[in-house]
Amino acid sequence: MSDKKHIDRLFQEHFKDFEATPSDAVWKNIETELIQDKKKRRIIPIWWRYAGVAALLALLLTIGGTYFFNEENTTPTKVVDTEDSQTRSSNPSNDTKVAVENDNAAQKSLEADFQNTTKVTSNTTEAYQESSKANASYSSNKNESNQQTVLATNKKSSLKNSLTSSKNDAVASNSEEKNNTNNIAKILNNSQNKEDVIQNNKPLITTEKAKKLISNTSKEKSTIAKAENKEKNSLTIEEALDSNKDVIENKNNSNKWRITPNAAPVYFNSLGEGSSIDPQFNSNSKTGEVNMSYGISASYVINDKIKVRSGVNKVNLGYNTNNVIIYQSVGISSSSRALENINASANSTATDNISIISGENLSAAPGGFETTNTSINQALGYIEVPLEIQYALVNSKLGINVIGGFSSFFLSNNKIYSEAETGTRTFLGEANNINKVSYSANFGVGFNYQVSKKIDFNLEPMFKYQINTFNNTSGNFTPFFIGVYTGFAIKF
Amino acid sequence: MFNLSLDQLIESCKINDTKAQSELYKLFSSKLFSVCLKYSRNYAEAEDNLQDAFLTIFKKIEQYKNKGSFEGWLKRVTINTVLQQYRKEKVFDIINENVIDDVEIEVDEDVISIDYLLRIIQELPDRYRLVFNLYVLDGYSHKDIASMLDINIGTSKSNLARARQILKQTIEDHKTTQSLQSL
Repeated sequence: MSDKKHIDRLFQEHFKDFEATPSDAVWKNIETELIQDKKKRRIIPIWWRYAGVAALLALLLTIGGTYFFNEENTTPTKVVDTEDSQTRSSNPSNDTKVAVENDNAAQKSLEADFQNTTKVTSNTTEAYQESSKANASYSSNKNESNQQTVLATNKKSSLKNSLTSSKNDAVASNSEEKNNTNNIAKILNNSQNKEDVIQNNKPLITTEKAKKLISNTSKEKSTIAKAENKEKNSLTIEEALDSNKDVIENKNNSNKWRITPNAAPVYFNSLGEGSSIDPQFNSNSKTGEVNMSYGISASYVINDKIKVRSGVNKVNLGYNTNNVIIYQSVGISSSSRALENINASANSTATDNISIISGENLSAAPGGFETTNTSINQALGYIEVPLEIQYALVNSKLGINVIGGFSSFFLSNNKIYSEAETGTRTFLGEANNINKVSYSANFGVGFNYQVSKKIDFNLEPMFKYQINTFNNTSGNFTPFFIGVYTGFAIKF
Repeated sequence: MFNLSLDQLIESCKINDTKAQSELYKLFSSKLFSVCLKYSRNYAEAEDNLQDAFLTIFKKIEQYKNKGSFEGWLKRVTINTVLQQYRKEKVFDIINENVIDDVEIEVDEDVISIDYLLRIIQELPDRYRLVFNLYVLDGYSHKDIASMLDINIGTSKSNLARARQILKQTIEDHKTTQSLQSL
């Protein structure tokens, strides 16, 4: 009876065809979980789409708002003082008309205010077209004061609204401030340029200039129109946020986040022919510089396919304008040779007696002076805040993604140097036509290799098309940069 | 014929078809429940583990690429789900023991019920139960077990030897009591 057997065999034989039926409750539980899961999956991406827009808007408006709000307090007073009388005398009738409209606006709703603002801007557009070349710059100042009034009324009405819905208003008033202040800043810059020109005794307000001003104003128009849209969007975002709060709280956050320190060589150049420094360099050859960008980004995994990410990057950009002739000149004549978009550095002795002209029109160089063939180097530094979406095409150990999004750039460094063939580098000054805040549209492909469960290696060639970088470039100067971003993503 | 419909079932499960998921459960729950029973401490825990295992299966079924048997894949996912549970509980933070010589253990063949065998497996300390199941009943090598449980190969071997000894002892004691009772 007692057959000797290895204990393993005993168990193996008995368990070979072992099956057991679990209770029905198990499937019931699984079913409920699955249904909940489906609901979750459906809701979260929609919420995130709104949240992405909301986060970006909040970021841009807060930073843009605070930044320009500060500037508004200091600089405008100065300009209004110097040219106030001229403004009034040039176009008094238009002024009162606008004032009446503003009175009406104060009584109307917030949206009506926006429409009015558009009207005001279109009025001034007409003013531009009608008035003479010289008047163009003055009316731009007027435009500014008008907008300040509008701004005030807007603020009033938004206060009213705040009684009903405080959240929405915060976003709305922010966007108004930002737009108005943005416009003011632009106009200021323009008028400063004009001032310079006038002081230099050069009647340089060409028809081209006038056109540019007009196009600037129409841009303003469109930004205001956009603001209206944005406001509407933000309403829906708020709603979406409220209605989906519970879902967020329930969410399981295992390995949803990753932090990626990254570095990238970046190559900066322009697509079209033109110059950001002076019209005379439009046809000069330009060479992009390779610089570095480094920073850190955080991304959130929405689902297997989609990640959203943001971060902070320090990015340096630069390019050279080649074939430039720098010559020493004597006395005051140098000031008339000042480059359009450079504020010469005050403490630089070099700029006092050197002049720079393009080598393309060599005849303009007065003979008898020592000349050197050099290039002008423009260096820009930015703090970049990107917001991008990553969509996974291949999702295995080696992953491939497409990346799209945009970045905000905050100017941190702005210098122009001349660089002689011999390698001597002279600081010329700061460019005065670079916007403090600019944007870019980003596209790219991302490769990631899973080094371990916690760490990914990333390689991302990105193309960034810059928007609103310069406010007064000559020719068709459309800057972009290319960077190959590498880094390790730490998942948690 | 069966394979074709199974493939279709898998495809439907990949797009979260509730009916297909229910079908898949009906087909494999008994088989996988037996796995859970072996690896768990008791019946209730086995049911919990089966539930977790199926949720993982439905979530990860997209990753099944028709390589190897589907049943094998299901078993692996189930075992991993159970092991995950123990990893959370940190039962593997145990000091390595010296390797006990892998002696042959013989038992008297008798009418021993599957329920009894299952019970004594469940009563084994966690680490012995897992290693015994993985090695003896599911055919994993010590190397596999070592990496699955994050222990070293020596520990796996010594745990297996200990498990065998405990099981043998339990069965022999059981027989003695039974024969005493029958007297």
